[in-house]
Order: sequence, then structure tokens, then C-alpha cells
Amino acid sequence: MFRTALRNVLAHKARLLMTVLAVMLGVAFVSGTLVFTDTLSNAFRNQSAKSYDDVAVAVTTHASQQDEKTPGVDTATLEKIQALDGVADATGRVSGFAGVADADGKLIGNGWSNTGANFFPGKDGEDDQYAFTEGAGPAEAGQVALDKDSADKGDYRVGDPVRVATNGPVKEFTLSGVFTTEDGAVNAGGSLVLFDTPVAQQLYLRPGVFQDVTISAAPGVSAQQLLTAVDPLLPEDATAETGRALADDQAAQIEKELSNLNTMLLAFAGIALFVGVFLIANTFTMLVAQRTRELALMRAVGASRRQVKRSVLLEAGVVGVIASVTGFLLGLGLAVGLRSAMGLIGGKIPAGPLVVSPTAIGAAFGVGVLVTVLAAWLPARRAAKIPPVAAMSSVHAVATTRSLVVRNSIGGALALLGAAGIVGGAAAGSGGRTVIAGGAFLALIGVIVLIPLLSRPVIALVRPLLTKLFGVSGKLAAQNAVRNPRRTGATASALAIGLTLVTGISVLGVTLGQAVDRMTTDNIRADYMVTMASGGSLDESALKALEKAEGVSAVSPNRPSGCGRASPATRPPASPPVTWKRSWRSKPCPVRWTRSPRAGSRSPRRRRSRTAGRPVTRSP
Amino acid sequence: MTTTPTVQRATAVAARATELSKVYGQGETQVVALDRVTVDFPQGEFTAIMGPSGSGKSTLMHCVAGLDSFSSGSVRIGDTELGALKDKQLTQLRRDKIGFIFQAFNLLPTLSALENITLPMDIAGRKPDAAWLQKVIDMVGLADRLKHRPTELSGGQQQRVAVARALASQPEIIFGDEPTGNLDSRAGAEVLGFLRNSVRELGQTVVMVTHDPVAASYADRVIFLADGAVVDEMTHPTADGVLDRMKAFDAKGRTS
Ligand SMILES: Nc1ncnc2c1ncn2[C@@H]1O[C@H](COP(=O)(O)OP(=O)(O)OP(=O)(O)O)[C@@H](O)[C@H]1O
Ligand SMILES: [Mg+2]
Repeated sequence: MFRTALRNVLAHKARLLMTVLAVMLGVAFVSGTLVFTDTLSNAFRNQSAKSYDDVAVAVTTHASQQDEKTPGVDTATLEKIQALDGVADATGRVSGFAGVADADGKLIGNGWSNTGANFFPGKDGEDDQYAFTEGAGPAEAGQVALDKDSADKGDYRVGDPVRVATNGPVKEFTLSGVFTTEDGAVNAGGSLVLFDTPVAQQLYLRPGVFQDVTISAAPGVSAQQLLTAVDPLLPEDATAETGRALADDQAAQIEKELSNLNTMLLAFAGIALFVGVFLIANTFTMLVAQRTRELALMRAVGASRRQVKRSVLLEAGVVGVIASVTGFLLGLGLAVGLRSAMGLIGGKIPAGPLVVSPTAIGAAFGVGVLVTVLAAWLPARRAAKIPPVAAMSSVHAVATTRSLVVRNSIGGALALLGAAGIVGGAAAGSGGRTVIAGGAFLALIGVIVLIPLLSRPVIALVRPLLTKLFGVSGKLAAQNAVRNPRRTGATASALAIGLTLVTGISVLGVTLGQAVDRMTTDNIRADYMVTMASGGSLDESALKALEKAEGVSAVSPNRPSGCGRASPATRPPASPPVTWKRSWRSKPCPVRWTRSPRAGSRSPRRRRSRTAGRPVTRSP
Repeated sequence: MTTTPTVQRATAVAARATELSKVYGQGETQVVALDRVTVDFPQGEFTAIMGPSGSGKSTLMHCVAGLDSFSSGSVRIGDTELGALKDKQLTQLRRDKIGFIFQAFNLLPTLSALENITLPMDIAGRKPDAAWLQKVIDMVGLADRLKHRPTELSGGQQQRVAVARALASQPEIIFGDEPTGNLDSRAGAEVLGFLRNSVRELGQTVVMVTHDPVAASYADRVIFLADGAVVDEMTHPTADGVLDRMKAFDAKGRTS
């Protein structure tokens, strides 16, 4: 029996190719997603473990420049910690935003992680965190060190002047050295500027105070012991944790973020497989109809219904296995591709091996084979019902009108129920959303079930056109399509579902985009918004510089209010349209003010943002 | 009635239909394809079924061979009463006790000649008897064609494969529905020769539906059907004798 099934698959290669393709895509998405996220989380987990490798205990104080009340760790406390038994070394850290510009004045790095920190040399004059490939750490106020990637991107050499933007006016420093580090943010494509400790303290906190302290343990001392020893020395509000706990926290955080990505990618897999189910069912229905005589012959010479059914399912299984294997390989390629794609758009992913977990393999094969076999179930049942006498007569499996009546009734009922759900849900107001969704889904299924019925009027409609355009072939095509509505329906429904999904997703995308647009323009009436790349606050000096810029008619600062939401920008004055020529854009960009800005009117204006150090990007 | 064992052996039937009726459709469109047919197919005999088109030959064969259900009456294959069997048992009976040769489309196109010959045994999960298989293959002269697919064989060769398949599983009875209908006279004669040899030399029982008086002349006995009923039979037929008999029916059919 297995031989017959295998031969049949080989004999119908071309026909089965489409189904293989559909299942393959689904499997590729599933396995690609799982491998990709496994690889990613493994890489990040190793990364965070590595960055906390020789940190036994880390102290965080949440101290900041704006917040005078939260104390940091002062030098005296740090020295006390260093003097503790069991402490090999304790390093004070202070950090904040620092953007480095390249020769063109553009920000280096990916924008969400441009960090500045202090260089904290130990007794040997070195900081364990940073390995210098060129030069040395900053030893005086005018010096900085840069991470290797950023230095390469900016083409900076030791001794070059480097423009660094922190909270306030841009300053120029001399590059003292280039280093590599295991720091997670840097490895993920961020930039890191190291200042001399007093400079960093001045920039980010207060002189003589550190935000964080990392402590390494002397041999034979456990992190837990250190933790209990360090704790009493710390100021209020400071938290101390073991490096292991922090690494685990970070890993958990990353895992959570990845799971969103996971869900999205798996949704694509689901769509591909959903379409695949219809394609498979369709193909196997046709194969079974085409092979009525063969199957009847098998029945005549002694194959039981069970055996016939099993042979069809076996065929589906073979198709499923082929699709799973190729899909899985494709998925591996997809995972590798996704990783490099992420690298291309700036999210540098720490290097690591491709992680192929047994779960990923199991899921790929389980999904691929199961979906194919389940989709072939109905056709297989139909095959088992072929009577042995059909081997001798020329009658093919007859699509009786009775079964079409049943089908149409079911489809009609579903469609009506769905329509009722949509109308009822709409009448119920915002509370009826789930009812509308359920109704829409039912209506969709109903219409798909009704496609054989619907195909008749549609074909009747296009028939004159077909005849006109293609003559006899067109006429024959129309007749053939009408002759077996079931077959026409099966083919059409696969296409219909594909199109439904595509249009559904694009409509969803456009709607969401407009909703987001509306939300932002409702709150902000300005044409442009200037924000810091770090998400931090802008220095006052930026305000004055903007007011002086050509073409700007009004500038209003958004001060953080109590609840953390930005207050709306002042309404622009009623003035004729102005053209604002900007230095970073060669093309003049018209700026439209609304002429009569009634209070509360919704002007569908666009929000534009300018992030420090980067050219303005127009949001869609 | 007392009979000696030898007589009983000679008259033992491989298949028997008693008062067999088959009605297609209902009401207005009702067709009585078989009307209380009673017929025996003795063991080791080659029986031909003849009759005009639509007389119920195929229907009779399908019902007796367990391929189709019947409306009333009874059918026995050996000691088994078919009317009492469920589909599963009927399938097993066809697999183990009956061989089939159809007019066309006898073979699975995806299997080689040899695989087609052993198909019923494959389905049953049995190993074919190698010596017997070789004997059958030699008899139909297919030894050098075993690896070919049906599409690579001529119509006559295909029918020979079908004959070999029917013989290979050593069934109690072989049914053929116009097995030579698509063949020219030479290829047809070959196939019929094999069938007759299998009866003479191997003791096989064969029942064959045919339109061709020459084909019928290979049989030991001819049964004539008309309008779903057995109207005549002839033992040791000759082609001319059968033709004459059929002409007589035709004339009767026209005058009645
Ligand atoms: N599936 C069916 N449904 C309805 N009527 C049928 C069916 N099969 C056969 N019949 C009818 O039963 C009668 C006997 O048919 P059958 O096929 O047995 O004839 P036949 O003797 O084999 O004819 P032929 O020599 O043409 O093959 C015919 O009148 C035919 O129309
Ligand atoms: Mg017939």
C-alpha cells in the first residue's frame, strides 16, 4: 500500500507541487520563527550573562541630575565598599546620553542607545570592562574614548577631535583611545563614549557621586555573602543585586520582548497554513475524482475502504513530510536571513550559533504533516466511498445535487447568521465589537461554502466577455466552470481566502496607520516636533536656536507635566502658507497652517519629528 | 436424493445465483436489469454469458462477483452466501476467492506489470507463491515485460497482465467482463487461449461475458440472457452455432 501511495505522489508531482508549496511556506514560517527567536534569545542570554560575568554584586541608586533627593553613592561610600573583606574590586559608574557625530554631523549608532559613561581605572590604571585596541582611556577632562564600531563608523583615530552631544551644547573632545566591550547595548549596535570620571559625574550627576557600583568578589567569596556585607553601607533607595540575578532579569526581559515578535511571525505561519488547508483539500479532491477508476479497481480486487482511505492519507502524509523537510530547511534559511536583515537595519545581534531546538523540529514536522493529513481527510473519506463497480463503468464520482443542496443550506445559514451578527453587533454599539468580529468570520466561512452556488451567476456574467475575447476556448472555459460547480468552488475558494487575507491585512494596516496619525495630530498642533534621540529632555539652548531658525513662526517647549503627558503645543497663528527651507533638505518643503483653527477642530496635519543629530524624518 | 461422491465433485458449483433480481431506480424510471435469474457456474468449467446489449450480462456478473448489491434472491460463492455479508467481508471475499479481468483499465498505471500481478496479494499482505507465480507468468509470456508500466505495454499485453493477476492469487473463480472486447482477433485469441488453458490444465473456474461468438466458442458452455432472464444455454459451443442461436433471438426479438 505504501508503495502505491508513494508512486501516486510521484505520478502527480506537478499537481501536488502547489500544495507542497503552501504547506512548505507555513512550515518555513513556523520553523523559521522558532529557530530565529531561539537563536536570538540564546545569543542575548549569553550576552547578558557575559556582561555580568565578573560582576558579583551590582548596586543601583536611581540617582539623577534632576532629582536632588535621591542620593547616589559618594566616593567615601565607594571606598568603604572597596575596603570590605571579600571585595576584589568595586567600580563606580555614572552614565547618560552621549551622541557622537560623524564628519557630516550625523549621529553614529542606532539612536536608541547612545550612551556616555565614566572610565574608571583600577589600581593598574585599567578598567576591566573595556579592552583598548588603540590608545588608552581618557585621563583628563578634554579626552574621551570611543567603542570600536562607532570609531570605525566615524572614521576616528586616536588624537582626532570628536564632537560629542550630551545634555547641553555640543562639545569637542580629543579621542584618547578605542576599545571593545561586552556591554550588551554596544553589542546591539549602540555607541558608547567614555569620559574621565569627574567629567562624567559633572555631566550626568553631581561631582563626586556615582549612580551605580559594580563589585567583583575575591576568590572563594560568594555573591550572596558580598550582598549581605555591602547592603548596610548603601544609602536609602539604592538596590543591590547579584550579577546572576541581574543577568536573569535581563534575559527574561529580552525573552518577553521576543515573544511579541514570535506571535507576529507565527500569525503569518497560521495564515499560510490556513490557505494551505484549502489548497490541499482542493488538490486531493481533484486527485480522488480523477482516480475514481483506479480506486474502484483497488476496491474490486480486494482493498477495503479503510485501505483506500489510508492510501490517500498516506499520500497526503508523504506530501506533508516532503513539504515539512523543505519547509524546515527554508525556515533555517529564513532564520539566518532574518538575523542578517536585523543586522542591516541597525539592530546588531550578538553573534552566536543557530539554535535548532527539538521543539522547533517537532513543531515543523507536526504542523506540516498534521495539516496536510487533516486537510486530506474529507477527500480520503470520499475516496473510500467509491463503489467497486465504478471500476467498470465510465461514471466518475457524481456530484449529486442533493449534497450541493445541503452545502448551500449550510452556507446560507452561516452567511445569514454572520450578517445578523454584524448588524446586531453594530446596533449594540462599541460593546458589540466581538459580536461583529464573530459575525464577520461566520459570514466569510458562509460565503466560502456558498462559492459553488455563487459561481453560477458570476460565470454567467463574464461569459459574454469570455466568448468575445477568446471565442470557442472562452465558451468552453465558461461551460466547464459551470459544469462542476463544486470543483470550481474548491479552486475559487483557495484564491478567495488568499485575497481576503491580503486585503484584510492591508485594510487593517491603513486603518491603524490613520488611527495613529489622528491620535498624534489630535494632540499636537505643531508641524514639527524636536525630540532628543535618547528620549531625554532638550537643553534650553535648543529652544533659542530653533526660534532663530529661518521659516519658524512659533516654537513652544513641551514641559513634562505631572502626569507625564506632553501639553499640546501652541496653536500656530493664522498666517498665509509659508515655505520653510531647511538646511538638511534640498527640496523646499511646504508647510501648511490651517487658516481658521477653530478650537477643537481636528486638523489632519502630520506630525514630524526631529531627533537631535539626525535629519528630520517624515512620518507617513 | 442420493449421489455418489464423484458425481457430487463433478457437479460442485463454484458460484450459484438463485432467483436473483436486480432493480435500478424507483417508480417511473425503474429498470429491472435482472429478473429472477437462477444459474450455476460449476467448478472447473469455462462459462460464457452472451446476450444483446442491455440484457443484464454485466449486471449479473457484478452481482455474482460481489461487486454490486442485488435486490432479491441469493448468490453463493463456494459455501458463502453473499447477501449476508457486510462490505468488509465482501471485500475480503473478492480479494481471496475471486479474480477479475475487465474490458479496459485493468491495471494501476503507477505500478509495474509484476506489481500489478501481485496487487491483490499485496493488499492482503500475503507473499505470493513464487513457483506458481512463475508458472503463471511463463504461461502468459510476460517474463521479459515485468518491469514495464502499463502505458509501456500493448493492449493485448495489458490484458495478459490482467489474466496473470487473476490467476496469480489462485482464486476459486475468475470473472471477466468482455476481457477481449478491446483486442484484435489475434490478441483476443491469445488471451482466450490462456483462459481456456487455465481451466483445462489448472482446474480454474472462469465466467466470461462476451459479445463475440468466436470468444464464446472457447467456453465449455454458453448462457444466453435476454431482458434480464436466462433464455437458453449451449454446451460445447462452436462459433457458428452461437451465431445461429443469437440470430434466432434477434429474429424473435424483432417479431415479438
Ligand atoms: N447504474 C445503473 N442505473 C440504472 N440502470 C442501469 C445501471 N446499470 C445498468 N442499468 C440498466 O440495466 C440494464 C442492464 O444493463 P447491463 O449493463 O447489465 O447490460 P449489458 O448486458 O452488460 O449490456 P452491454 O452488452 O451493452 O454491456 C440496462 O437496461 C441498463 O440500462
Ligand atoms: Mg456490459
